[in-house]
Amino acid sequence: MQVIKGTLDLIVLKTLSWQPMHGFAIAAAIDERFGGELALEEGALYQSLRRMEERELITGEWGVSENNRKARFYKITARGRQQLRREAADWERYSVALTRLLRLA
Amino acid sequence: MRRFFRLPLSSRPAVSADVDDEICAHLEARIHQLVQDGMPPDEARRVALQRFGDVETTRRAMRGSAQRYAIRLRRRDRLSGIAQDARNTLRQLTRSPGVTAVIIITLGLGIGATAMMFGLVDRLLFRPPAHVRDPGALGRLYTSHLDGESQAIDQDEVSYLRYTQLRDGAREVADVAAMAGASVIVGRGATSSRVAARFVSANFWTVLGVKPALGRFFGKDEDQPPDGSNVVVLGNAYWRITVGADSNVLGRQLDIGTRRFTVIGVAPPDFHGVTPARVDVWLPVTTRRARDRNLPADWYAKNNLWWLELVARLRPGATPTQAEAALTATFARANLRGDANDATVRNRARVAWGPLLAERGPRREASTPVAAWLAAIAGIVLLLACSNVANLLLARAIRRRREIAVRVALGMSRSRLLAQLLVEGVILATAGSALGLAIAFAGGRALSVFLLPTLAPTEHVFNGRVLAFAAATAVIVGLLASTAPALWAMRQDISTLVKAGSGKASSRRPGLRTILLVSQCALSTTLLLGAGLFIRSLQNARSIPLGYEARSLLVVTAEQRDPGPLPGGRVALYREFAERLRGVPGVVNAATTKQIPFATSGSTAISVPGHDSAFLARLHPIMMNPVGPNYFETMGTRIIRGRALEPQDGPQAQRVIVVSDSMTKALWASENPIGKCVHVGGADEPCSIVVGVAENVHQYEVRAEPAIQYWIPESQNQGGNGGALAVMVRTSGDAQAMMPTVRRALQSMTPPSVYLTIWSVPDAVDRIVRPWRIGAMVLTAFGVLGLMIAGMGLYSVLAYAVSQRSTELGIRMALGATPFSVIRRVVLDGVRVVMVGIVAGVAIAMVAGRSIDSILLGVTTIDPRVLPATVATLLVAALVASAVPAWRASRVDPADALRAE
Repeated sequence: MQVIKGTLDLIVLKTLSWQPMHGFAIAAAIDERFGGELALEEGALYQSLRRMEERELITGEWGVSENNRKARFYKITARGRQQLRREAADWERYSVALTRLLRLA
Repeated sequence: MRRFFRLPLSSRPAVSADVDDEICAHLEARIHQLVQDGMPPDEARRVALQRFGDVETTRRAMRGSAQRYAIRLRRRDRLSGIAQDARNTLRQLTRSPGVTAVIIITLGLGIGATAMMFGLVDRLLFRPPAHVRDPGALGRLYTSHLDGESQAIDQDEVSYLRYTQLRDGAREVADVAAMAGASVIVGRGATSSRVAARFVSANFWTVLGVKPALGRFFGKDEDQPPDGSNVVVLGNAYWRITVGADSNVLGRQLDIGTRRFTVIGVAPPDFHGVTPARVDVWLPVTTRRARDRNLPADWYAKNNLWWLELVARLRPGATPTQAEAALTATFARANLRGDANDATVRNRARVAWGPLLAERGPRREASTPVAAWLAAIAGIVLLLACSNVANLLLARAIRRRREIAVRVALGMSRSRLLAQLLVEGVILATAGSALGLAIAFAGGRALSVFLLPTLAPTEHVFNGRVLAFAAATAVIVGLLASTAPALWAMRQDISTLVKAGSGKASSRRPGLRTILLVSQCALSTTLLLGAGLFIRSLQNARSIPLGYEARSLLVVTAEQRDPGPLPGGRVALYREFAERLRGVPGVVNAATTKQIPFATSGSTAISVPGHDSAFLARLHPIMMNPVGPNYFETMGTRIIRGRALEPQDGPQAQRVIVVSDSMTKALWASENPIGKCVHVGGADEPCSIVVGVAENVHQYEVRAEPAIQYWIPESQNQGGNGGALAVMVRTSGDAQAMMPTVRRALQSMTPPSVYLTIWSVPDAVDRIVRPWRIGAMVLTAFGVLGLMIAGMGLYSVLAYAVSQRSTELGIRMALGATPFSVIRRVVLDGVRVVMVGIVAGVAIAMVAGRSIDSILLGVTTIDPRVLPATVATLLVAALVASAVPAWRASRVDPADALRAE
């Protein structure tokens, strides 16, 4: 399963809403949530992180990972949470409508 | 924390490295995980890269985002830094409101005065006239030639004949237009009024390149001699005031002078041509006879009436030098045609291309250099203010040195510290300039009314240029004022700063502040000296014996507007006026006269037995005035010898003459002049016997020596050039207050076609002494301002020094010094600085004084009254300023001072 265009940011934002994470952990969490079914290109994930940092939806800062490695930790901002709420609602409405359309015989 | 991590991202390579680090960290983590899961390292690397995708694309995208983000953060940081500095500064400033107020007021007065004077000087000397296209190609023409008696005459006015000749002769290189200002009577009967007219040639509009606000301007066919077309263009302000800016005004009829004019257009707002004076109506040059009905019908072909100023526009590509050459050649040719065919006439005829603004040209008003001087002085006062503010800021920076040291030690960068000090300076200067602008706005109007009474009232000297000037000044002043403390802060060594207690004596650093203080004292000495000199000049100007009692003297003139002679004649009307006025309560005396003080003068050829004409020509000009009975009593001119002119000196009686003291001395030296013979009007005229000698009279000019002058009975004036032109009226009280009474008394006997003008001689005298009065007033104001600034500066420096030296003073007192000796010490400290300043100031005044010598009257820089008074004033100020700190020093408790150690 490919990531549907435009939903990567939403996925990452949602993932970060649970707790601050570094990129590698985010990739792992997404993998886990999607049961390994999502073919995520990890480069795209990092682009998404920096993009959202630029938009100040998340902030990143260097720290030390659980394996004692240097890693850049990302944290969702208040603005990010707002964005998440808005986009999640949009997505829900969109997917319900799309599902309804697809189920029409 | 955020800040700490953000710091390395300040540069582009740092951002790139950050991105690379993150990618590497991810790949390493992935490989590590895969290897742990049992994959061979090479395989793990391949898989990790595959899962990551195109590294280069990702890296580029990440760098882009990170770069933009870093820039935004940096910008925000800087802004918040400045905002924080501003907040800190405001807190600092409100913590010591007294010092802050002093600083703001000082700067406000300095900036206000400077902006005000800038506006004025800009208006006079720099601002091009409104609505004029490409003013750089415009110039005024000044002519110079020899008259019949080989006298060089410099003039900025020419006859209509010469104008047309110059215009046609220079057609290739320049377009020459003519203009002349005059007042005209508009309307009829009781509703008539006197308005400011400007007669201009038809090409005036094209030469200036101005467009009408309404209707059209007059053209060439409407400006043809002898009488032009009766068309008028209204001044914009006049149009607004008289008809409420009614656009239906075009085609309306307007009675101007002797004729009825049709309104054809309205000039644009604030358009006054090339002079700052207000203009109500614009008329074709050739309609001049509507105002001066006595001009001969062929006036335009004669060269005896010089009344037109010339303004010219260079043709594209032509230079002023080419224009001058063409105009001079034409002018010389034209002069030859009229005068004797003399090479010297041709050689001396010259037309010069001068600046468009008359005030920059050779014939500027006397008050213009004064205004320029005042502007320079305002700049000096601003410098004073700056140095004082710098002084106060420096004192405060020193008081705050421990705080500053702590901040520097805590990692505040020097540049940040510098920025903070500069922000402080700019905030203060901005507040000061806001105050200054308020002062300039209020004062500018008053000053321009005072200095430039002819300036159009709609035009304020205060405008966008002044605003820009004040804003620029604020920034410069802010930087200047904060430079001293900033430099000081930069130079300090942190460790010494931290160690030094805030109240204890550190190494005394009087150098910079003392220099500032000395320069303040010097400048205020110079200013006060200048003020003193102007006050003395003013006193001298006022006390010059005019040769008549100017106080309570009125002048009445009557203007005939309708064509045709007055019923009974003008001279008769004036005689009736004088007769009637002598019976009016409050009027002491009245007499007719041909010449009006400070308004007109005239001369005619005379011949004196025993003297040749060359000798008399050297005495030129010899002023003549035909006067009516009671003239000398009315004027208050004393008769030194013999008698005045009497009523019985009628047309049939023996011709008589009264001569001025100077004329007696020039013609007959120590001989008795009574009974001598003078042929007035030339050798062919009969003898006029000298019957009296009057004191010397300043008829026209206050500063020059009184001209040689004589008076003859009006009834015996055979010269033929007209009779009385005015009635002089001596009132018992205030002349100004008597004006309505005089007008009422004359109105009933004034024909409806005659317009009466009444003005007071004191007003005219006032106008003449105005430059000195302005100089005296403004210099006094600036001098006092400067003195206050210097006084405050001295006070703050001494007060600071005393607080610095409280320990030392305490020890001295503990060792037996008396309070008096302490007071003397402090006061002497102050006085010493002031003395140095005074000496410097006097030196500056002596140097600068040379260039103002020409505008002073009867005083020199080292005036025995002005100099001591100035020095005394400064010393008193020094004593006052040091009194409080000295008193405080004497109250230092030795025990306290020692404990503090």
